[in-house]
Amino acid sequence: MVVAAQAPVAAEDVWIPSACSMCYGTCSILGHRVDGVLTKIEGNPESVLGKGRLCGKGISGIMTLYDPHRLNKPLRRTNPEKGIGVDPKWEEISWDEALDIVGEKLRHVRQDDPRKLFIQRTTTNTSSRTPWQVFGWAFGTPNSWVAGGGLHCGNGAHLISGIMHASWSVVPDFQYCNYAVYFGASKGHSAGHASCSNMGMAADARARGMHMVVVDPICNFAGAKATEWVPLRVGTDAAIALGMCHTLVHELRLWDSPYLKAKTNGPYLTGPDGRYLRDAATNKPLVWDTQTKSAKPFDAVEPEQMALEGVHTVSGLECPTAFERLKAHLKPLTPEWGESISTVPAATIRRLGQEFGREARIGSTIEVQGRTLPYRPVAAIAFRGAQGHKNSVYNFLAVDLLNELVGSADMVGGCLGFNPSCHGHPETGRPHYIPYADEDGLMITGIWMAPHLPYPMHEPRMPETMSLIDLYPMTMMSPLMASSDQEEMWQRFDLPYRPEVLLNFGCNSLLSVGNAETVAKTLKRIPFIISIDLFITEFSEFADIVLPDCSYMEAHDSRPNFPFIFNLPGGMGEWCWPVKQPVVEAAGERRESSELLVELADRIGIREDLNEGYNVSMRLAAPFRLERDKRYTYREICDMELKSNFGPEHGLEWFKQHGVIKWPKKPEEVYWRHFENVRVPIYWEFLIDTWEQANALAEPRGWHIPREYYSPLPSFLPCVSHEETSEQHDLYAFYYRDAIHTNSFTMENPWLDETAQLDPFSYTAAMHSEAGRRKGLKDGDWVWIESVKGRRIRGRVHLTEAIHPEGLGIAACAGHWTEAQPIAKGKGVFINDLLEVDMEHSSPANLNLDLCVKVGVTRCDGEWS
Amino acid sequence: MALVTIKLFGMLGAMAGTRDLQLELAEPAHLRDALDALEARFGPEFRQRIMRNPRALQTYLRIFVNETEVTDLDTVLQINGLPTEVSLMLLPAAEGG
Ligand code: SF4
Repeated sequence: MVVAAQAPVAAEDVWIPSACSMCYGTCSILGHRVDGVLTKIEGNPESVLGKGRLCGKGISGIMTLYDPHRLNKPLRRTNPEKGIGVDPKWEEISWDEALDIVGEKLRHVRQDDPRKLFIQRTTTNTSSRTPWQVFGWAFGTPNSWVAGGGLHCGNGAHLISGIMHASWSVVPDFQYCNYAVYFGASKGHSAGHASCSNMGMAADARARGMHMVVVDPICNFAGAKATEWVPLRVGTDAAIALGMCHTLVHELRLWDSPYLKAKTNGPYLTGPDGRYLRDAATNKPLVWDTQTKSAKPFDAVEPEQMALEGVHTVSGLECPTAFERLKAHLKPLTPEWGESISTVPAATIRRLGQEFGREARIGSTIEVQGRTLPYRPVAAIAFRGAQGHKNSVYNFLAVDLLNELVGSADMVGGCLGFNPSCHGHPETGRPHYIPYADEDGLMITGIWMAPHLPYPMHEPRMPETMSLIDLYPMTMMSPLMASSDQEEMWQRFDLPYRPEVLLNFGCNSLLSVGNAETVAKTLKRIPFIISIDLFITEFSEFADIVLPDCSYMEAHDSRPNFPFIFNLPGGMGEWCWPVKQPVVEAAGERRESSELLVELADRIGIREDLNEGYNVSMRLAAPFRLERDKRYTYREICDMELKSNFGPEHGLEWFKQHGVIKWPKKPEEVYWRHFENVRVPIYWEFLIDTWEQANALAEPRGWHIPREYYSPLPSFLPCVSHEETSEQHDLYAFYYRDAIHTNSFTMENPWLDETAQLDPFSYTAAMHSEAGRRKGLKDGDWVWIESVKGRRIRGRVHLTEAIHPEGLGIAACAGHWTEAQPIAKGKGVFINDLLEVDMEHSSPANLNLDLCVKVGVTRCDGEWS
Repeated sequence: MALVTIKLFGMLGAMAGTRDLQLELAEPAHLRDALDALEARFGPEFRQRIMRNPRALQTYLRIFVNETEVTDLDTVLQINGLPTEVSLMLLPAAEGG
């Protein structure tokens, strides 16, 4: 007799709602746990975040959770020598011992000078933002940076999206947009903010017939799905966008006059020095009242009565409006001029300008949920590719000017800053934030990822921070945290201290910043380094103590996608607040970093500061404010935040069961710009003072800040690579964000590695077939890629028609060498190793490090092949 | 005289060397007066840290008067003789992504 084997019945079989952290998209997930083991990850269809869909990285999270190379115990280095490839000779120690060492170091530094603590963390794990920011505030250090996406990430995009759209980034209003132009952006087509949600919305928009133009040196994630791909010379986006603006203004005389009068500073009168003309009594900017034919404060005249154009005589002075200055500025910036810089034919630039203007349907309206609103179904968006350059600010601003000219900024069908206005849950009115105006009528964002707002900017002053952000107020991220000239700059500006302890969370700055040699030198100067991570990384080679972190599948967070300006799809639909919770028990001796920071705060003696920091950061309202001297776990803090926002019955336990809370968005929230009395600057008048003040501090110290980066109107300004003349270095290497990998973090994941190996682009350098033929290269050849500065990397070429003939596109941030990540080791092309990290290669406006580099490419010829 | 309790959190407390202090201010006392008194005690660097320009506070400074966030330098600090606590916290932080 044969007895059929019976499958054992699982004692436990549950699906747990939580949030993905394989990238910072924070899609909502369901983890399938059977007898304590995670067996599958799916999207949570109840959530707006991903709407039940996951990308390949999200599904592969199971392999990162159970990776046998995960850290399980605290480690201490026994080898005092540090360097790339130097074995730290780790020894395992107990948590008690580790915390004694770390607590003592931090206490000592705080007593001495809290600014000597330097904190760096990854952006990949979005949930780390609040605990780490709050810890930094409580400790009292102004020195922190994030290096997950590299220094090229977001510096200009976030700044300008914040000033012009009150949001962290911009997307087309996928539900209504008919014509979208993408400049170096892939929103809805690969990775990034609200990634999976945007992918669904973008696909629906294309199916509906949205015409999509992608201006990009490489035709990959967005370009491959576009209606039209427009290849340009790397980093010249501003030249195309300004050429299109010229076509609108000077060839078509087409702009949205009511919008420009009511929603921008276009009608503000300017004096001979370029500054606003101001009212003597109130100091408010003046406009020209066409009825009384006199200058009046901007808030004393109805917008329709304001003069948008013209030069008006005030007190004997000839005073152009800001819009008149913009017109004059655009006059020479013709499509032909744009072609000479970008290589894109003038006829194409002109046609794109004409199509953009025509499709904007200026003057039309549409009804959305009973509200009649302006209908402008065109959007010009940009992101990392366009702004990751020395000309970061102007490249992005020039693109956004297109939206401002046709009045499509945050209007139905237009270019949306996502979710900058939230009126709160219907039962509690929380969270609540709305953009508001300053005394000049210009918009201040109602919420931001950090308290350092994009606008208003602070006055430049002598630096107190390692980053010199004090001197460069448009900066978000600064290369000076790891640059070759940091000591020179610190001495020049009398920085009164040097970093003594670096506290790292999940960041592998050796791979993600620039060339490893430069970063390594800066790390060697820091006496003590603590790293909290999932794996040993190349960065760990410089750490003194390594502490094992829980992965997102083992950790809590009450706000994985808050604020909504970072990670919630834009447009009409629903607000959605999910939580993150452990799907499985933490293995080994791993600890949640957020709980670890609570413990460290106690050991340092800053519990009161930490609790007050959480009260401030989470805007906790009574009775859910933290008592200052009481010790809370981070779980308890999460519980307080959820109850504070959604009422006492909606605490952490409720969310752990239900996963998300949702409520409908209102047109007044999504299309807030029509309703709120705020203006945005099409003329950045405030830069005139900013430059004068910054340069007045810099010049006496032998440092010149170029004025052309602080003009109120955007121009094309070249990258260092555009000015290289060496004939051997004939290609522009640039990096782009891969859809298969998240920066350097996921390359150890075997499923993603396998996928990337199958993909012809992920681990190769993409070169135009014709350029390859000229160099005698075949597809798949091993090559050396060498910068003008003599930095050299190795990789395989992929020959393709889908790249600009001068471009060499490489997905970042590959090239691991640590033995501790055997799957990642040796994979891909380490483009960051070509990048200089110094002031010369950074924007004099926002210190954005340039991501393009002029290179020569030669075959390896037996050395490696 | 108005008796005002000051709480300096984070960097401000660490640089001042104390988290708690008491101020006696002439009535009617305003937030501006409290900041002037703190500058007199801790020097001009204190003001430089908290002011964006000579007229406005840093956008990353948070000031609470009896747990209510305020931004107006003319905020009255003592009403009907009730005890007043002013707490200040600087929130310097970089962000990217
Ligand atoms: S887009 Fe990011 S957050 Fe969403 S499933 Fe993929 S890896 Fe996870």
